[in-house]
Amino acid sequence: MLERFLYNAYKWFYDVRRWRKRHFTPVGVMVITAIFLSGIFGFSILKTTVYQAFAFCMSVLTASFFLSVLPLRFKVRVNRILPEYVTTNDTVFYEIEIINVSSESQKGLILYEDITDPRPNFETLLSKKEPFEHLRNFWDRKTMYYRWLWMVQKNQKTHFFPIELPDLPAGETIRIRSDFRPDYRGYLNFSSITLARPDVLGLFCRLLTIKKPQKLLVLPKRYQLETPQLMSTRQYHPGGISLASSIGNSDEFMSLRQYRPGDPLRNIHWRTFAKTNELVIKEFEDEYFVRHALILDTFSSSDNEIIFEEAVSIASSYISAMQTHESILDLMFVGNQVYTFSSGRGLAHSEKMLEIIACVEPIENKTIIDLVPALEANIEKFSGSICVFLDWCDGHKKIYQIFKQAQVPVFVIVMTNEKIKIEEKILKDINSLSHIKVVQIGQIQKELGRI
Amino acid sequence: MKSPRFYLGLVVLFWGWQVQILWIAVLLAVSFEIARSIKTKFEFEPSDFNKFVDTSTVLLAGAVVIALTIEAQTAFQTILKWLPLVFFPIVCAQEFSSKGKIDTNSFFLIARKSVKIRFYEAKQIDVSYIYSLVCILSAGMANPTGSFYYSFVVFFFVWALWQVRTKRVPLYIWALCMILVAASGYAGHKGIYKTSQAVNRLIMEYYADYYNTNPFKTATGLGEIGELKLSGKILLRVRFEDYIPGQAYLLHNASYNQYNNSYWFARSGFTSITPQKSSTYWQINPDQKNTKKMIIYSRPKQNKAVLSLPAGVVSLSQMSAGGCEKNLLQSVRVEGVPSLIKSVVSYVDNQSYDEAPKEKDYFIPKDELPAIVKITKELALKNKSEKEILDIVKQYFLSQYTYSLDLKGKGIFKTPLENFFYKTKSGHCEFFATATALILRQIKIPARYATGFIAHEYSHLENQLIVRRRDAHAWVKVYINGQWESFDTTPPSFLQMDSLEIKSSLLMDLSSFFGFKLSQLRHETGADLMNRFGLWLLLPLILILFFRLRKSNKIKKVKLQTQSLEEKNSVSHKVSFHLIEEILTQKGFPKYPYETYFLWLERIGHHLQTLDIMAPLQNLLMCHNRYRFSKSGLTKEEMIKFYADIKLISKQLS
Repeated sequence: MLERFLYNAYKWFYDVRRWRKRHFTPVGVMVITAIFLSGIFGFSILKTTVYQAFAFCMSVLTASFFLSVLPLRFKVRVNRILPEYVTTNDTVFYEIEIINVSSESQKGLILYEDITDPRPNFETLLSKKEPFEHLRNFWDRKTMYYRWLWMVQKNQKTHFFPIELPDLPAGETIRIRSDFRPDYRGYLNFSSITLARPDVLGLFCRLLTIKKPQKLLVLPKRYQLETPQLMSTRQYHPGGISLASSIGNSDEFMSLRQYRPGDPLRNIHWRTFAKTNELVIKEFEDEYFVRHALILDTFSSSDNEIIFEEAVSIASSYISAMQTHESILDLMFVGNQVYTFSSGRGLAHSEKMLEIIACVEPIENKTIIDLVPALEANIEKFSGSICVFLDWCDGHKKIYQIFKQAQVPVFVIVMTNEKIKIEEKILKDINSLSHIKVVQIGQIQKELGRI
Repeated sequence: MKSPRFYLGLVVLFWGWQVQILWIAVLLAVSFEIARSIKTKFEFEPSDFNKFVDTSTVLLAGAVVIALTIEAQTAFQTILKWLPLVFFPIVCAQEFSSKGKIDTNSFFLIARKSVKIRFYEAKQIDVSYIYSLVCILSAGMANPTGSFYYSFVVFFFVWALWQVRTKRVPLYIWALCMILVAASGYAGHKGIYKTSQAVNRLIMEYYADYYNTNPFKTATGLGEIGELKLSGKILLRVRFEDYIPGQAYLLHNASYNQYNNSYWFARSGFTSITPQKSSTYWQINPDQKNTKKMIIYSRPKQNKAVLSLPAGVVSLSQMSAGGCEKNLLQSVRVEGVPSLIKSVVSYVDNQSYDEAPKEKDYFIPKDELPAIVKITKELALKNKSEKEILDIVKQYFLSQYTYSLDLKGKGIFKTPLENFFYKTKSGHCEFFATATALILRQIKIPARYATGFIAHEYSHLENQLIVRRRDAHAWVKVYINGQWESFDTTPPSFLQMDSLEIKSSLLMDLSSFFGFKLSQLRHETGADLMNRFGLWLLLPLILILFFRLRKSNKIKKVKLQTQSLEEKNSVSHKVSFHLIEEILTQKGFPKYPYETYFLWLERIGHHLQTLDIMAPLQNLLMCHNRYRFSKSGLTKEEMIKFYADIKLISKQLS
């Protein structure tokens, strides 16, 4: 009951705030503040003259309101010229093209970028927690205000500042440059562009919204990491040449042999057949290449949001750093089910994998054990593996041991806030820290930059 | 939004002028303007801003404590008046900082602490306009008359709005709008004032009983049975400049002109008096020469009271009050007063400022008329002079009536007065005053019923006259020789009788004196000390702030970059065709990267036809190209002409 009330209140306040930001200029807000304060302080009309300030401000506000009554109507087309990808915490520059199709010039307009409604639904608000919720006091936890704030920010990804447009002559096209800095990864969904025209006194704005839905992928933050030297070997892959269409040891002729039923007809050596009247088949060398696994631990509670985001960043950094034209990289993680994506050697580009990882969300209702069957089924394919873990427990130990038993070189990164504690735990479990790097949050570049 | 140059300084000066601390305001204004002028600024970290905010918070807390201690009733106004001084450290820090803005988290202690668990960036704001608003409101708090206040409010607001005016409409339209707004604001505030006065009057009348004395209606003890219950509690302390030992002084509270059914009524509205010279001086009646002085102290139960004053009051000084009003019957009431009201009263003896007699001052209720007519006939007052009549009436009551605090009701008679006249022949002052007023009215002498106190008891302990609750008194105001005069027919023995019958205790007197002295220390001495030395309290705070900032040892001085050679070159570069490009881009005709200047001018040419500058623009472009690309370039004369043309066309385009 209380939660529902708070949710509705936050939703309503978000609407009001948005309405106020769009319809009032900062000067308008200032004048309203002046009205409010002079109304309170000037209440004793016979004792002070503050009510005179109140009367003037009210007069300004009323005049401004009436001057802004005329709606803003003109034909305009807008076009956003966005980059293909952007990265979290990097400033993004892009251009907006505005074409005034009407026969009337426009001056003094302000442009606002609109994104799709970032408000979470009620169920999401209840089920998820913000990263610092465990540190907040009882009141903050109960009211869920910071949780709401965090979810809204996470959904809207960034904050756009209003842009004052130059004059818009009739029939002309102008291009303006804008910038923003995305704070969260994932898809940034633009919905429309709003043009606002302040009234003569500059307090109220009339709006014109032009729908222009567009999507922009915000990739996770990436570090300059050194790829670990995994003692990997080239292994046989039944996929053969089909998995190595671009570069590789394809068409490597080995020998001729008698035809056996089932052999592909296109490999028949027709010259020998012409000479001997016997079917002889060309044999090619089987395809061997390096295939790495990148295991991302997605089993995290909301309290560990920061650790999870850093783990995603590290995984993204390795995806970018790996020379995928030389090898195949399999990204494995668990969402609603176990996902495995392969890239490299013509399968897919690393950008595709970055796109996938940009949208990874933490899972709370499963454990890393869920990943084990999929891993065991594919273990023979892997030449080496990098695991990015968020903790160290039995499940993590099990995965580590699977790689060890299969003699697949593995490099494990354990993200933590308590480095010494986790190191002690690992030493207790497996008596060694070789091939395992416990990384303190905030020290990633320092600790993984040079392995 | 940053306020323009001199805005902050002027608004602070305006505040100082209104609050009458101009010298402090000059210091503040100079600090702000120096900050805007100098190139060297300080690199304050958010933690440094916290220290300035802390200092302001301590100042605010100090102001609250002092204001509440000295004058709790007017504390709100006092604090508000000093707010610009309280917030000065914050604004000063902003103005001297290289950022020119303040982190909003500095204002909230919780936000400062939770910096490690914050996932959103703190906003940075410029507080100069907010501070200006505080100055304007504070100036208004100090200014109850404020004939200039509105003009200055308009001036400062219009100046601020000028900075953000839209270029969509011509300047004259904007100016016209502003004039209309100022005019309607003026009419608005006049309307608000008048409405407020009317509403205030209605409310005052409705809640008149809320005062210690109701100046509109008073119930007498006429007709009641029992004993008049009064006490020996000290209510007033009075010092007369020309005190004559043994003399009794009447202190007037309220007058009433209509009697009905044991109630006296006054139908006279109150008018507000505005303080003059200083906020503690109140001119009650027109100034007079040869005024006498007396000091009166009272301790009201609430923050409002009807004052007990001698007749012929000209002015009240050294009286702290939120408001003061008087009516035509010379009742003076105050509100927003501290728990000890001190008032230095200037008055003129034998002078009355009461409203001239009206029909009501002759009115006798029908029920009382038979008895009054009978008594008047008995006294044979016809064809006597006014003085003779007064003597006869006084003598009549002295000789035939006695003073008593017993309330005997109306007995078998129709009214309590008939009982008083015909049977009991005794009563307290209200009987004598009411009877006298009605008898005088019967013989066409205007008379009013007055209430108040009689100050007669000199306290050697306090060295001043003390007035107890039992000294409450009623008498008559009679209009003789064109003047209202006090006329008291109560037998003088009533003072001794009251003293005997209503006892006072020495212990209570001592306790009351102790309380009075404490209040005097708080409201008189304390306030005086604060007025004289209050500002010195700032010194330790400033020293603490200085040492805290010094301790942090991180604040760096930075010199804001002056125009470098490159920038200077770019300025001269700007006085070229690029300046035209910039202006036209702002006008909505940007040059695309793939376009040459010629193609660009060709494309936008039809938009500029009305200005008739295409030909000069093309000539300028030719010159520009020669200047930039030709080996021979431009001669000195051509350069001068080129620059002049650029400026001319830029002006035309702007």
